Amino acid sequence: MKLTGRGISKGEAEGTAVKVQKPVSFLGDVDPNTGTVFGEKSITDSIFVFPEGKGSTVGSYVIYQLKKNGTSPKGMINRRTETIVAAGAIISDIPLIDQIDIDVIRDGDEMSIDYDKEEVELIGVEQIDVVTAFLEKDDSILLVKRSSEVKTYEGRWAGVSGYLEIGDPLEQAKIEIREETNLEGKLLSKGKPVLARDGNKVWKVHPFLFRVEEEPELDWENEKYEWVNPGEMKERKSVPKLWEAYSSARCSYENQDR
Amino acid sequence: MSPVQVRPAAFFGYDLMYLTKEEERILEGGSGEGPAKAMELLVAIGKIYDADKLIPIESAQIAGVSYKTMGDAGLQFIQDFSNIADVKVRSLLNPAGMDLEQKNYESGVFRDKQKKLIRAYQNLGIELSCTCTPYLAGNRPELGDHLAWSESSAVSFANSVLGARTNREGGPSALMAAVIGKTPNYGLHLKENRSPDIVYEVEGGVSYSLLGYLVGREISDKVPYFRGVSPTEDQLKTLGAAMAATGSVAMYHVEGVTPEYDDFDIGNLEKVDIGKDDIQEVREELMIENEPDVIVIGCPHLSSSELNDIAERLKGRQRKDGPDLLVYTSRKVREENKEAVREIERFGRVISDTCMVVSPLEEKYEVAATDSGKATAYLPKLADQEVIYADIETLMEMID
Repeated sequence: MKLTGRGISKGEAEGTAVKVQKPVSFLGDVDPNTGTVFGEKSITDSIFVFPEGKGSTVGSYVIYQLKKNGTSPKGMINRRTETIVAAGAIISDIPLIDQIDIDVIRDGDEMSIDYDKEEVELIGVEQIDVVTAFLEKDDSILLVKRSSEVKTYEGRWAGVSGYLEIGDPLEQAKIEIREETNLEGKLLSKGKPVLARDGNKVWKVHPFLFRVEEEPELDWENEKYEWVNPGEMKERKSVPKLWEAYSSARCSYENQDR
Repeated sequence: MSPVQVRPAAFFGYDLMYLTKEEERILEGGSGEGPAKAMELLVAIGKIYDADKLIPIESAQIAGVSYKTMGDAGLQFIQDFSNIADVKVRSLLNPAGMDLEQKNYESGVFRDKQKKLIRAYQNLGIELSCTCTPYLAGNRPELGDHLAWSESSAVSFANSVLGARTNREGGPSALMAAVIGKTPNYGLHLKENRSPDIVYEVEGGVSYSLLGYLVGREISDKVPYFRGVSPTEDQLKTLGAAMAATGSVAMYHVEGVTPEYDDFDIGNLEKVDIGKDDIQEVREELMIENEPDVIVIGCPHLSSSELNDIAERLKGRQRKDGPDLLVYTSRKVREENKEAVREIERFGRVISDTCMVVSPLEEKYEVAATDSGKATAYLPKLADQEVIYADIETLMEMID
């Protein structure tokens, strides 16, 4: 699958992802002689994935030294780049892309990055688009428990959801609401898609928020339903990123001009 | 470095930052590899901070000069880069790791490497004025000037006291701005980002080092507005330096004193009182039971009046077996005050081009006494010192 980001430093690269979760101070956290980060992982010849840089601006020159020593990564990916890493990548001719949801990338992923296309590709990882509709009634959100007859995430709590089979996510969401609950909802908002990694798949969840007035009538896909306070979602055993998907839809609703 | 790859103009992101034809030409390698790299970095920074365009700068002040902080990595880059680029605007350096004209506590190997680094900067066309107070050494920006400065206390002084406009640049970004003569238009280049965030009502007669030490720690990178104090220019230098060290304050206002204090509405801002008790608390926190083996003064570099004040205080005193005395100032101030330097050198050394923080003080000393809030914040981490904070009178007592 492909992820779109923002090109910071020119070039293309292909390699294996080495990922750390913490911000990296190249001066101190990375050894330019061995190319190890935090004293454990080697970033040499990898696609180095980390949230952002921090610390001394001398860190830019440490990246340059990695390159000179032949211990540098082939490319870098950030959630949000700051000036230290940007400068280091540019002076060292290491391609760098940022504004990438790095939660989707795993250590060991084969991947490529391309500055011109402002794109990152996870090789051998399949993107599957799904829609999730959150139905709201009296400040509560409808959660459904997936039945044992569905092929994925049986027994987990979810919003009303389904594969994106037609081109338009909104129409798909309306179809799912009708099929799974026999309700007609009023659209409140469409959130930014949320990505959830699961093995060699990435679910691209298109979230929606609808208002409904009636109780649902479930079909075979779900075994029961409950109206919950939104915060409750975080406590339930749910499908991946359920709370993030809801937050995305809720957030875009709150930001609407009304 | 590989040749610059040309991207179709449509991809440069005009919605993000406008580039002139000339800037595009440089980016595409039309002025050579060095300027292309420099432009690439400025464009990237512009993207990161949502700048609308590049703006011309009057001068650059470049950090990353001490071999102690730069190491072989930095030395190698500056050497390589000096072969493919030159600066386009007046550019000065941050303090180096040693006095360029006299040997002090640093090793011979260190001096060698440091000299190579300085030579590389010279090859780039940069003036050999290694100071954190360029505004006292012949480069005093004017109200509204755009700059790309990097030393944190110089940035604070230029913005706050002179009303010039600069972000807190890193070494590489200041260098690249110098090579292009421009910087991305964001942050403190824009008037609206210079407005105060919080008002401090200060009880008069406080130590500006400690006031800065306290406030910087509390507000990180916000813009403070002080009321109730009337600092001199030297005191503003001290205050700003401390706030930029314990926090990352790059801009502040002092009511009735600094040039832009009256440009903003502060009616709705949070107000915080700072009394003598608050300052005393910081003083006590910084107290340690130890004897210094060195007294270090001049962070930031001393002005002429501060240097003369120390010479005056030393007159009539006799040197005893106390701690060493090291006084740091810019080469220009040193050369303009030869008599004061002679007086001070009866007791210790006056050192230029460097300071106690970026030179290898730790090679000779372990416990340093200083009156600088900034040095108090930095010496433990950057020079491995135990630090005794004391005001200037107390420091002088330690000598005699």
